[in-house]
Amino acid sequence: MSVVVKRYIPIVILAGLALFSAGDTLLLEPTYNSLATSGRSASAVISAFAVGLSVMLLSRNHARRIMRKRTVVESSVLLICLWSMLVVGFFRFVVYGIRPSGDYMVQRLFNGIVAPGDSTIYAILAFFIASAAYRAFRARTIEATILLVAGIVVMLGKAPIGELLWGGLPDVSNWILNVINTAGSRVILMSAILAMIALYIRIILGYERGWMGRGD
Amino acid sequence: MFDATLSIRSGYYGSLLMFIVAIGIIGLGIYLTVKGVLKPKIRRLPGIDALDESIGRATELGRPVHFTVGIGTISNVQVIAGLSIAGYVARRCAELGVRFFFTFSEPTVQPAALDLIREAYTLAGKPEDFSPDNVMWLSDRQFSFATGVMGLVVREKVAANLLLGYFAAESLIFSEAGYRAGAIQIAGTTNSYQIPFFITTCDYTLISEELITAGAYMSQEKGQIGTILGQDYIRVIGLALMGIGSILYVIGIKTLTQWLGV
Repeated sequence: MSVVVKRYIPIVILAGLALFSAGDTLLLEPTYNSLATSGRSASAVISAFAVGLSVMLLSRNHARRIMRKRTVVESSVLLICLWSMLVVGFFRFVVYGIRPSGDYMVQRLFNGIVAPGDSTIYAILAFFIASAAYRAFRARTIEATILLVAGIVVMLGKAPIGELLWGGLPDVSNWILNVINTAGSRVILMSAILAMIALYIRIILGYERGWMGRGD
Repeated sequence: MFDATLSIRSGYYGSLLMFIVAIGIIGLGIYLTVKGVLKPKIRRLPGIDALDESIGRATELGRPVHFTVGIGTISNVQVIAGLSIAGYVARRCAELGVRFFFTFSEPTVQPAALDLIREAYTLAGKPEDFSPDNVMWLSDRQFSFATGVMGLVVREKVAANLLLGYFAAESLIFSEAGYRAGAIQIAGTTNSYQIPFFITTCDYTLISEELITAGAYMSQEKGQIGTILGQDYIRVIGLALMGIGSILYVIGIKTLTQWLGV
């Protein structure tokens, strides 16, 4: 592929679409806004194609892994089995007109395997938070001491026992969260927004090419 | 047809002016830097400087490097920023013969990531070392993806765990897994809820804009440095406007805030 196709055409398309989208946020013109909305829908369709492409790439990788008899092929075999379910279902629908009746099975798979798995992993977070907090809340430096004190105050302020110890603790806790914490968060947010504007300009000008799989 | 009356919404002119000013200033920053009128110095980013250190450590230990851009799609700026760093890390890993694992959650990232990493290996002169198996779409479900990453990090005993992209509740799962595997960890995100987790558990953390400007910082290209300069000018103007707006608001003049649509 020539450099024009690989690099310049995607950048020109992206720059045009970016300016078109910027115009949508600045102008209130029905036809223009409607076109921009359609454009956003088109991006959702393209994303759907990307899912298809990823499934194909993933399947190819797994098929290759099985053929080369690599270790840990269980996940590959599982993937091919799930694929075959899709193919058989699709075949039954196209040839015999049988509508997918697997809702019950899909729900059972989801409720019995996926949902408990997600919940388990989410629950692990509690232990990880405790472990991370133990490492972080050590008063080794002045900053760590401030963090430790602020953490204890906020924690006690949010727990019923805090109010029992001293009635003013919830107010101090809320003040730390609403004033100090919010100020810090807004700095992070605003700096990110400024950096994003600069990044968009780098992308439009073609300096940043990671998004199209071209680093240099 | 275009209706001029419709185009005027609250703070419209202020927003339009600020948009033009922001674009203009960044453009000016690029122009001045490329022409050599200004030679901006960018402060050191220890997290980025430590990338080579982490890859070097992986080389010495003979263990792999893991890189993830998290759960964002290809349209997420943090993922784009992460990809630009991933290209550099993949190339260095290829040069030093270190195994490089790249994981992501959104399928839209896959084509770009595959191309980027394949190209990095080609540029390093080792295209034969590139393995598509090491660019892994684990799952588009948040915690399934987290489980996959956790398993990979612990199973492969990665020497460097690089978490640069968009992360949510799974951030701590990734970094704790890396901590337990004894990996050097470099993380970066703009999500202010996850930054404390990364600061607690990782060796280096790129906070907010540091992640997004990392690509420009590493490239040292004049045009890219110019955008950072323009970004800093906008920051100064923004701070001045906030200060002036606050004082005017306190003394009862609300024209500026209304004009900007705040």
